[in-house]
Amino acid sequence: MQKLNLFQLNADRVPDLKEMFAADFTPASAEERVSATESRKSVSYWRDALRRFKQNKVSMGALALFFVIFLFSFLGPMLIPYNYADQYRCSMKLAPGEFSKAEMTAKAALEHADLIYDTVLSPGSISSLSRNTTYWFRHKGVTYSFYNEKTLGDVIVLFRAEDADPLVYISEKDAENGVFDNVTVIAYSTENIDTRAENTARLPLIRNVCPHVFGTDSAGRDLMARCMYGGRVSLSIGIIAALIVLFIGSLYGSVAGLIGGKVDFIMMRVVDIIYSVPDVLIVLLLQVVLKDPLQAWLDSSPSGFARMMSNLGVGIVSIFITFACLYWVGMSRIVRGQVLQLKSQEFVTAATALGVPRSRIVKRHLLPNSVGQLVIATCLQIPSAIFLESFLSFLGLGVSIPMTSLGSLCSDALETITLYPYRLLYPGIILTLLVLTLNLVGDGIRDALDPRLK
Amino acid sequence: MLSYVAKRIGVSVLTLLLIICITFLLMNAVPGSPFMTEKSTPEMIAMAEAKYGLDKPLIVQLWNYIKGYFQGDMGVSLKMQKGTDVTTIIFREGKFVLSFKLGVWAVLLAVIVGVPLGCIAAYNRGSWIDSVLRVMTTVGVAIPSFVLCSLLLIYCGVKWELLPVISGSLTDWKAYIAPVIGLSFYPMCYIAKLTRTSMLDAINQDYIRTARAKGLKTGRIIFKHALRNCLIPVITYLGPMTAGIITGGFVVEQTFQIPGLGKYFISSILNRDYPIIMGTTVVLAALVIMMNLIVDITYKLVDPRISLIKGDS
Amino acid sequence: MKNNEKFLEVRDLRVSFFTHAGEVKAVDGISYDLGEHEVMGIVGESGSGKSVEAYSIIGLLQNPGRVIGGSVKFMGEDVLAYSEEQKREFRGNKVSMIFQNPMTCLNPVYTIGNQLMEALLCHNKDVTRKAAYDRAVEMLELVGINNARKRMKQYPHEFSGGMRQRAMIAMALICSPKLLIADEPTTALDVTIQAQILELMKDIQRKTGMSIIFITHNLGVVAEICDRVSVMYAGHIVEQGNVNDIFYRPKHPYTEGLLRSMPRVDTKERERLIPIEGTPVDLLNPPKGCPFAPRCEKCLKVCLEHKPPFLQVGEDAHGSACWLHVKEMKEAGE
Repeated sequence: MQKLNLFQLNADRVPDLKEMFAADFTPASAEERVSATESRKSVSYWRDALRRFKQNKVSMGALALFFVIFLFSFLGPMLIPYNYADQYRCSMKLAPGEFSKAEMTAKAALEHADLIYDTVLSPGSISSLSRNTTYWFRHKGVTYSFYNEKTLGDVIVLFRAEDADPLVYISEKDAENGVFDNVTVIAYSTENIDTRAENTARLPLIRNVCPHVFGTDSAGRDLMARCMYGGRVSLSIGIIAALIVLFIGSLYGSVAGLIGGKVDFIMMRVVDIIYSVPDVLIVLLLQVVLKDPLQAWLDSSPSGFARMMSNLGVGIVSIFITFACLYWVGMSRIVRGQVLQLKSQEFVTAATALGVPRSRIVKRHLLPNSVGQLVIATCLQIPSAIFLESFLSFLGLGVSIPMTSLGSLCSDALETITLYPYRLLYPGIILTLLVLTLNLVGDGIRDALDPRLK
Repeated sequence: MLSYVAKRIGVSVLTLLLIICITFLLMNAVPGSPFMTEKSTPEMIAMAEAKYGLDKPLIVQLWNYIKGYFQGDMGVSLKMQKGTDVTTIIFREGKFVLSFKLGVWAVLLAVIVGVPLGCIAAYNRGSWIDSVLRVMTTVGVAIPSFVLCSLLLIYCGVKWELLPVISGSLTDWKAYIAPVIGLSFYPMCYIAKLTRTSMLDAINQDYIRTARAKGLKTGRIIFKHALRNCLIPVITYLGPMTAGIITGGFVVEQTFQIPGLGKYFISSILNRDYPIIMGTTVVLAALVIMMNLIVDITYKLVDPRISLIKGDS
Repeated sequence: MKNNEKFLEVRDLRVSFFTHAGEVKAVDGISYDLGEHEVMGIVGESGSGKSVEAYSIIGLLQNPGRVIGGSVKFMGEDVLAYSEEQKREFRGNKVSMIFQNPMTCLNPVYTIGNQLMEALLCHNKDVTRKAAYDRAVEMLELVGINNARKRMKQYPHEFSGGMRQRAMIAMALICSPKLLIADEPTTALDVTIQAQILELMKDIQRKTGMSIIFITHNLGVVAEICDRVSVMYAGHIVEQGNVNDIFYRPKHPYTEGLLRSMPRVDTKERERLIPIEGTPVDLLNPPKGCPFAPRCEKCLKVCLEHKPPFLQVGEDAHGSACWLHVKEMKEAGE
C-alpha cells in the first residue's frame, strides 16, 4: 500500500492527518446522497417569459406609459367638459392654460357661487335671456343673482349678491332696478333655493372653469379633447389593423404552409409580388379610389354593419381596407415559416411517433411554439399601422373633419406652425410616445418570449 | 451571374407591368368622369373623353398606356396643367431631379452615418455611449418624420434662424440640411439599430472566436470579420428603405414647401389628374423596384454563400 | 520536468461566471503541469469546465466569465498578468487554438487563403504578402489539402467539414506555436474523418514537436493521442496521470465509471456497459463536499460534507481526489 502523500502540485498545503482520519468513513445512504443535491424548480415557459418581462425595466416603464396614454385617450374625454367637435367661439386661439375673457368671468362668478344648476334649453326659459349677463332677484330679503354660463355648457350659476363682486358681472341697470326680481327665475324654483326645479339638476359645485390645458385651435376647439379623441382613433386603428393583418396573414400563411407543394409555391409568389410593390403608393391610390364608392355604399346600405362603419368615417374604413389588402404579406410569411419549421421539427416527429393525436400535437406543440412569433409580430404591427395612419392623415387623406386623429392634428397645425408651434407639439409628442412605448413593449415581449433573439 | 441579372430584370419588368395594371384599374374603378363639373353637359364630357381616348374599351386604353410607357410617352395632364405632357411635367420641370437629389442625399446620409453608429454602439456595448445611442435610435424610429421636420422648421428655421425656413428649389446647400435630416433620420436610426443587433450577433459567432484566437487586433476583428457579415441584414433593408424615403419625401416636401415630385403627386391625387397619378406612380415604383434589384446583386458581392446562378435563396 | 522552469504550469486556477442567477464556479482550483512536446488530454462531460479552463489560458474568456484566482505560467511568464496587447501577441503566435465546430469557425465571407495569411501577417510585420501566401500554401499541403493554390481562393462553404478542420489546423499552426489547444476538434466530425484528423494531429505533433492540450469527452481519442490525462468533473480535476495509469489503474470512482461506460475492443462477450447514474452537477448549487458524491456508488458520509484532498496515488505524478484513499490509508495504518 502506498503512503498517503498529497499530490506534488499541492505540496504547499500540508494536510492535517489527524483531522482527516477523524472523518466519518461509513458509507452514505442513498437518501443522504439524494438530499445532497438540491434540484432547482423547473419553471414553465410562459411563467419564465413573464418573469423575464417583469425584470425588463424599460419594457415595464413603457407599458406603464402606454397605459397612461391609453387612459388619457379612452377615459380622458369623460373627465373634461369639452368635446372634440364643439367650437367655443369665445375661446379661439388660446395658448395652453390660457383663459378667454368669458371664461375668466365665469371663473370669477364660480368662486362666489352658492349653487349650480344644469338646465335644459327650451323657448322662454332662462336660456332665452341674453348671454353672459347677470340677472338678479330677491328672495326672503336676500338678493340672489343668476348667471347663464355658456362656457360651462348649459349651466345656471346662483350666488348671493352680497358676496359677489359687483364690478365683474353686474350690468348696472339691471342691478339697480332689480328688474328681474320675480321673472322667469321663479319658475326655476327659487321659492326654496335648495329644491330641484323641473328640468334642472344640481351639479357638484366646481369653483373653477376647466382650463384648456393644450390651448384651443383657430375654431375654438379644445386641443386636449381633440388629442384625446385623436389618440383614441389612432390607437383603435392600430389595434384593429393589426388584428386584421393577423387574421388574414395567419389564415393565408397557414393554408400555404399546411398544404405545401404547388399551392404553396403559387401562393408565395403572389406574396412576393405584393411585397415588392411599393406599398405607400398603392395605399395612397386606394385611399383616393375607395373614398367615394365607399361613401355611396355606406349611405345606401341599410345594414347595421354599414351604419357602424359610416360612424367611423370613410377615411378610417379605407385605411382598414388597405391594410387588409396589402399589409398581411409579412405576417403570412412569418406564419408559413413557423408552420413549415414546426412541421419538420424533431419534437413533432417524436410526438407523432409516440402516437399523440394530431389535435393534441397542434395544441400542445405547434401553438405554444408559434404563438410567441405571432404575438411579437402583431405587437410591432400596431405602431406601424399608427404610423401609416398618421402619415395618411398628415397628407390630408386619412380621417376627415370633424373626426380627428393625431396625424391630422399635426397636419392642421402645420399652417400656423410658426405662430402656434404647441399645436403640433402636443399631438406630435403623444404620437411619438405612443409609437415609442408600443415598440419598447413589443421588444420586451420578444426578448421575454425568445431570449435567443436578443 | 449575367443570366441571374437578366432574370431579375425580367421579373422587375413584370412587377412594373403589374403595377401599371393595378394603378390603371384602380383609377378606372372610380365612378364618374374626370371632366365632370357642375356646368358640363353629357355631350361635353363625351367629347372630352373622346379627345383623350377615354371612350374606348378599358383593355384598349390599358394597352395604349403600356405601349406609351415603353415609348417614353406618359400621356398628357387632364387638369392640373391641362394639355402638358406628363413626361415633361415629371422630368423636364425639375420636379423629379429635385426629389431624386433629396432622396439620394438621404440614402447616403442614412447609410454613412447609421452603419458606423451601430458599430460604435456594439463596440462599446453596455457603456454610456451605447446607452445614448440606443435612446437616440429608439426615439428616432418612433418620431414620425413630419413631427421631426416641423421641429426642425420651428427651431432651426424660425427660432434660432440657422437654416432657411422655406427650402424652395434647394438652390443653396444650406437649404438641403433640414429636409435631408428630416428625411434620413428614421432610416438612419433604423440602420444603426439593425447594425448594432447584427453586429452583436456577429460578434458572438464562432468565427469571431477564431479570429480572436488568431490574435487579431480588436479593430480588425470588428471591421474586417464582423462588419461584412453584419452588413447583410442592412443591405436587405435598403429596398424597403428606398420606398420609405420616397414616402418620407411626400411629407418633407409638404413641410418645407419644396416643389418636388412628392408634393405634386399628392396634389394630383387630390385633383384626380389620372395621367399624372399614373405617371408618378410608375416612375416611383420603378425606382423602388430598381433599388430592390441593386440590393439583390449587392448580396453576391458581400456574401459568397448566396449563389446567384441558381437564383434561389 | 527537470528544472523549475516548466513549459506550462497551471496552479489553483479558478474561473467563475457571474450570471444573474448567481456565481457559477466553472473551474474551481485546478493545477497541472505540461511538459514540452507533451500531449495532455483533458477529459470530462459537457459542462465540466474543460473548455473554460482552456479559454482562460489563451485569454479568450468573455463576460460574464472571469479568472478569479490562481496562476498560469507559460515558459516562466505569467500569462494571466499580461496586458490586452500582450495577450493578443501571445494568442495565435505562441499558443493557438482549434475549435469544435469547423462549420461555423471560419468566416463565411472571406476566402480560406485570406484567413490563413491574416493569422501570419498580424503577428509578423516583416513578412511580405508573397511570403505569407507561400507559407499558407505550404501549411495547407502539410495538413493534407490537395490542390492548395486553388483551395486558397475558395470560400469555407466550398469545403467539407473535415477539410475545414484541416484548414483550421493549418491556420492554427501557421505561426509555428509552441502549444496547441484543441477544443474537441473531432467531436463534430464523422467517425472516419475523426480518425483522419487525429492521425494528422499526431503526425504534425511528431514533426513539429509542439505540445498539445487535447480537450475531449471521448476516452478513445485520449488513448489514441495523449501522453497524460486529466479527468475533470464539475470544475475540479478528479484524477490525473499518464495515459496507462488512467486507463489501466484508475483510482477515482468517476474515472472508473467513465471507463466502464466506454465500449472497448477487448471487452469480454456479454459484458455490459455500465452507465454512470444520475445527472451532472448543477453548478449554480454545487454540493458541499465532493461534487461527484451524489452520483458515486462508494459515497461515504464524509464525501457529502468535505471536499476531498488531492493525493498522490501512484508513480509518475498519478494523483486522485477521493476520500476513499484516505479511508484506505487509515485502515492500513490501524
